[in-house]
Amino acid sequence: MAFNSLNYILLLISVITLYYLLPQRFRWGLLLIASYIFYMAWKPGLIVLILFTTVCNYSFARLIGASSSPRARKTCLLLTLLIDFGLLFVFKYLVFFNNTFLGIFGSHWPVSAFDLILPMGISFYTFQSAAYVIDVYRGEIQPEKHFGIFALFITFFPQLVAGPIERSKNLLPQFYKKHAFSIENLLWGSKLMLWGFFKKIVIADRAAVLVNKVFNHIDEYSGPSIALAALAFTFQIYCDFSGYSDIAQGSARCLGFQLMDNFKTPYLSKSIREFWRRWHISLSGWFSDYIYIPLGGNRKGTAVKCRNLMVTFLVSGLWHGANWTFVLWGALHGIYQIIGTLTLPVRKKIAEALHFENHAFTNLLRSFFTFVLVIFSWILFRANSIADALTAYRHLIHGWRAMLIPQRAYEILLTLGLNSFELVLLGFCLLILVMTEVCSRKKNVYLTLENAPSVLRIVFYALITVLIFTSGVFYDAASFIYFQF
Amino acid sequence: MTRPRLYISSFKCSLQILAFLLIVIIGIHLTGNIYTAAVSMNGTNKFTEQRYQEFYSLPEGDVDLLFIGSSHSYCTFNPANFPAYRGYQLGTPLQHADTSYYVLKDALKHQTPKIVVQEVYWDMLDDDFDLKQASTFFSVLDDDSIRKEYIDEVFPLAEKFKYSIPAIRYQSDYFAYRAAKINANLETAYGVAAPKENGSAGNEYYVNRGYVYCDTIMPEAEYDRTNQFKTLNGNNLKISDTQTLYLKKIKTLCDQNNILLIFVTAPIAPVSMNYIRNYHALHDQIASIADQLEVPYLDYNLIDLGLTDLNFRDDAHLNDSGVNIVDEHFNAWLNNLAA
Repeated sequence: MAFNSLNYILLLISVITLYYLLPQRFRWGLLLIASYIFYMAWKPGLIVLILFTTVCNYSFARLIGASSSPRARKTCLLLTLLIDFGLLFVFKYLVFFNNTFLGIFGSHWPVSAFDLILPMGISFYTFQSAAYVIDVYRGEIQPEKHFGIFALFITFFPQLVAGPIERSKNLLPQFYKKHAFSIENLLWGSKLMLWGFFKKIVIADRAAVLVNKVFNHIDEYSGPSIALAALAFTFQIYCDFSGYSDIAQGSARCLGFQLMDNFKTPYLSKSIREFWRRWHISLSGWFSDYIYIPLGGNRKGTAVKCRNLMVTFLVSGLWHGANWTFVLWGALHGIYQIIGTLTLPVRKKIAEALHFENHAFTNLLRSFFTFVLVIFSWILFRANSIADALTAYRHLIHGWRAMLIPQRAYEILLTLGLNSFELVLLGFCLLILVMTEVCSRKKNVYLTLENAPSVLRIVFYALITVLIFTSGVFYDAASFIYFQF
Repeated sequence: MTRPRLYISSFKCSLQILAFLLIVIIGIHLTGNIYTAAVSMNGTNKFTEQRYQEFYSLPEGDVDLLFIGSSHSYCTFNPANFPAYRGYQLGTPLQHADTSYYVLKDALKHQTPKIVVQEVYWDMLDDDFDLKQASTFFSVLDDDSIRKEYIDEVFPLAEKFKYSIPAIRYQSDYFAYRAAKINANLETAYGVAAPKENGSAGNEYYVNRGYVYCDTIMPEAEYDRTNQFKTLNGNNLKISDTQTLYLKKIKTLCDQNNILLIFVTAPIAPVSMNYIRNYHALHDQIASIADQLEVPYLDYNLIDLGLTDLNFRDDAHLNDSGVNIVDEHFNAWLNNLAA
């Protein structure tokens, strides 16, 4: 069940209504049933998988908590992780690796090509449940005793299929809190959702038309079109994913729950390092806490730090999808980080010598440069194959002079998949997005607007609501990008 | 995260919500009016309009052979090629089986055909609902009761909601209209022109009895680069239960009116057929439905008529030369059946 569907709105309204009517002791049950309905609306049979994950993680976490033997605790942890990541590997990566070996060994490879359904949200709930068991093992939390509450923690519908990847410390206690009905929460949640729907339905889905047209026929396009498509994808993926996160947060907020912020104006970052503190924060935090730091982080010298960074980003790339383009995208960000780390002392010295630290113009340049690096990497992320990505990079430098010829520029405009009015509309909506993000770079959009004059706030939300209904993509809309992860 | 003020004045809050709702309702309503006005200014439906205008003006009993279906119907069957019958072509763009049922229902209020030829194209059978094709039909339908029944019976809830909002319903019409204006202004201001596809310029015009003549040949790009069938695998396509249901309803309607129903799959270009993997999986699904309903079925992708890519206007539709070849065969087959 997609967030941008009438069925979801009806489900949410029903759940909110019943939630506040029910006594506190029954509320977890309602949310759990709603979460299973939400998940099963996609493919009912795959609920078995998520139930299996729930039972395994619950049971092993309790065993870890009950055992005093370090060996037994470690065994339970390893078994849980083996089951969690084993299932993830089978459903998400087995086909990929099989196809890779088929490509290398051809008919000598004993297994022929096959297909497997990718269960929606598996990457997210696997990481969420794995983090829980690791935290129990580390003694950071006590294992949850209530099976129903634990099941709800794994399947809580606002964040089930595309995050944020919540930590048990944040989410589990909230299921025990009594959430009184609050107009404030309802308005807060509704406003967050409106902003999320605007980003997804009006911007992301519109940009997707242009992006798909160009990237699915990359060899036919030259530099200007590819650059435009890359820029469009930069905003598509941001609006799609952050839009989803906003709707998830908003839905949870209506019920009184607080999910973590997953994005903090990442495209205003002044370095790649900062970008990863602002982009998909829940995932970056997961990789930091469960891969980067356990590997040694930055505590064992520069060489080890660089190695740890590369490993973390390679795994991050692979997490995003079963395709070598994602792995290379991860590697590219690893390289960015390594170069950033190695050149930091030199850059600092230069900035100090020229008195450029915290200079507004320097910060602007840094943000722009970071933005360009990120767009460059998104080409790899979006390309259908490595060959396509290389074609895109090769073609990127060609065809720019043609833009000076009106006929050629007009032909380029007509072949982008969006008509001229849609391009203008997309530009206008991106302006709204950029201005809003720039104004809310210190706090989030909701809090920034709450402190604005009420007239401005009402006009803003009314404008984006009208745009949702009048300019949103309601037909042939793209599914949420991160659903495929 | 810092919390905003804890206390919200109920009256102030209510006033703000009211103001918000007022602006939104007025904004959506006004935009809907603007979008609606653009519908009549778009020339995209002109052939469908001509087809239906002529149909509604026919005297009673003037049609005994009726063709329905998507563009694969009106790009395949020219009623003039069936001299033993008074044929009429009522295909509309993207027409799905659910719409075909209502096309037939409406047609039967005006005419009494003895034979109905339903073109069955797999791409029109694999989704439960599509608003675009319904809107095209609605734009020419003159019977409000059929329109209402269609919306009640066929539209899923979400589609009913979207349809009830003119700003959503007519959005693509308005965007196309505005884009045409912008392009015209750019062409005037900068002396530029839209590029033409490599292929014969061709003629296209409405003839009569619902048929639109077209002698364009398939553009170069559709032989390879932009051919829409390049990734089609018949094993991956499943006919929707909703469309199957409407094929059954068409059959029932025909039986009730003593009409012989025939299913036909129109040919697609030979170059396109070469791209499709497991075509038999597509054919078998449709053949199975035809068998169940005891409806004669011809699949022109499996009948060798000597068609070449030059008989096609694009990768999926015949041009007039191809129409004449297919209709000759179908006419002979029909005469055989009658005999």
